Amino acid sequence: MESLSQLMQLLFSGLTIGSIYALIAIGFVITYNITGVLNFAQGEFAMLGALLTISLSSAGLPLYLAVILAILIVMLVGGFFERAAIYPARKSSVATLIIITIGISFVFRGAAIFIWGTQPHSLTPFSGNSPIRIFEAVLLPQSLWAVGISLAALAGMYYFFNKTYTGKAVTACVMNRFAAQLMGIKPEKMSFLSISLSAGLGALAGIIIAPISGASYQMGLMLGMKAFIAAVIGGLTNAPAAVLGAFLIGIIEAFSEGYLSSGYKDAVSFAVLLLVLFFMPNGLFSKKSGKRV
Amino acid sequence: MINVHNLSVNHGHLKIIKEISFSVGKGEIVSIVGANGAGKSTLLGGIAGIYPPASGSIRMEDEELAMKNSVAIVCKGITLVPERRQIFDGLTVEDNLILGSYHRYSKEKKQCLQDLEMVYDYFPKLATMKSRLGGLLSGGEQQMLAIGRGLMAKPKLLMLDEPSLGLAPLIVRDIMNILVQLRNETGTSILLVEQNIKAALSISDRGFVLERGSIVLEGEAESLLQNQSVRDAYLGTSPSLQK
Ligand SMILES: Nc1ncnc2c1ncn2[C@@H]1O[C@H](COP(=O)(O)OP(=O)(O)OP(=O)(O)O)[C@@H](O)[C@H]1O
Ligand SMILES: [Mg+2]
Repeated sequence: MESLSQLMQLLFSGLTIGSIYALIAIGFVITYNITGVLNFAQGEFAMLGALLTISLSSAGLPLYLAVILAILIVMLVGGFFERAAIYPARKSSVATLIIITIGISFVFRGAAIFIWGTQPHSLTPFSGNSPIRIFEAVLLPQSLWAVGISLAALAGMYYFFNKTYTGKAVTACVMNRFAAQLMGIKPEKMSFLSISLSAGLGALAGIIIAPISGASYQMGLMLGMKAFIAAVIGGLTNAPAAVLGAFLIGIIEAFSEGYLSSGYKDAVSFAVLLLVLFFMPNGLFSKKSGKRV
Repeated sequence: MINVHNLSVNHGHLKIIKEISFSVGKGEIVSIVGANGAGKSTLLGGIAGIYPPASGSIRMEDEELAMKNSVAIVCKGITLVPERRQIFDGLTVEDNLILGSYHRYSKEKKQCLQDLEMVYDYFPKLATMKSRLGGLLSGGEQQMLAIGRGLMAKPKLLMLDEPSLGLAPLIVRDIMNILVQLRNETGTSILLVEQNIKAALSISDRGFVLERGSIVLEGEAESLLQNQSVRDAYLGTSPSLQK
């Protein structure tokens, strides 16, 4: 019985962290498909979202308002980042663009140290802290929030890209940029839209995880790397596969933390990435990748 | 309606289109014919704002369009149905069509939805496969979809780059007939690039022959069809064998 409850416990925490990775990974995939940029500053949006929410709510705003406002601000920051850093360099090589995004991530982290300092901050959970027991395992309400909000956001993304006119235009731009231009769809506008959308998703991820693991200027780095691994495992062009990849990484991490030692979890994630890159360079789910974003 | 004057278009340092001048009047169908690599697609791309012209002017209704980008051009009423169709494989037929009206959709959604019905009237076959993915259509259906998508932009000048490419003669004839019908009913001007010279010239008012980036011959479509050098170079038939 002991082992079953531990198993459930680890599974829950894997799903929780996986849902966080999923939100950021989707941002990776959206940005990559529409702009061709691997945005290594993606994780920093999570950090900004978390710290902004903490500041806004400690300034007296109700939590939900703080969350919404923080997401909007990060979306603006993302849009500004696209205009100021990505757009002017859009004709540069892939390597240059990657270096630009890495450089920007340092800028974000530096700004965060300047504003929030180096010490970690905490955010109160969305609805109390009294644990829920399921199958002998203890589940924090925040975990339910994490999984629930992520799934809702992912469903929202699905709806946006498949059912709304603007979303279809973005999708069309991904499928055939040339034809989209002939139709009057401006790729630059889509690129702006996609990066601010990705930034908003990243912010949401950071805000959800903050009550569980705290928030600090450096939280974006690991979140971004893990989400990147998830996106690569999913093949980088396939949003649902990236989500599966994210949950896979989350669960693998939780289990290696529980059964091996917490020191191993990062190493295991990177090992999984390398294995996938060696043996299935198009992603674990490449056969299913008919539809992009 | 559209006046192209001394237009040159480069690819890198290579001058592909060399000081070309021509015009297309309102409701006119004009064909550009020429061999592979003559520069036909480059010319259309230059007009559509895909390849910025190196020099020259493109005037439509007294407005200079030569330095405008592709988005501005489509808003001005010039639409290119590109070579090899370029439809959105993963989107449905209806989504492909409705996205064709992107530049005006937010302003006149109702009108766009009406025009969608008009496109279905021109291409009844598309109406039977509205929710099929574009990538699953046959070549002929994809070409119809590409033309329909172009029509959704409500162009004053519709440019088509080799719509007959890879299609059976019967379907080519269907498509050519639809172009004539479209011109007659809506007054849309059509600039048609073709290697299928016979099909193109038989529906055109005028035509010109492009060779290595220059116009080497132009005139009434009928007279071009009878022209001996055109026949020798592009049709490979003698008059007696025709029809
Ligand atoms: N993007 C490009 N970059 C460099 N050169 C190009 C490009 N596109 C076309 N060319 C060159 O320009 C010339 C004209 O090409 P273009 O595609 O306009 O010919 P075309 O008449 O449309 O031929 P086809 O009948 O085969 O479609 C060719 O020599 C081609 O190699
Ligand atoms: Mg061509």
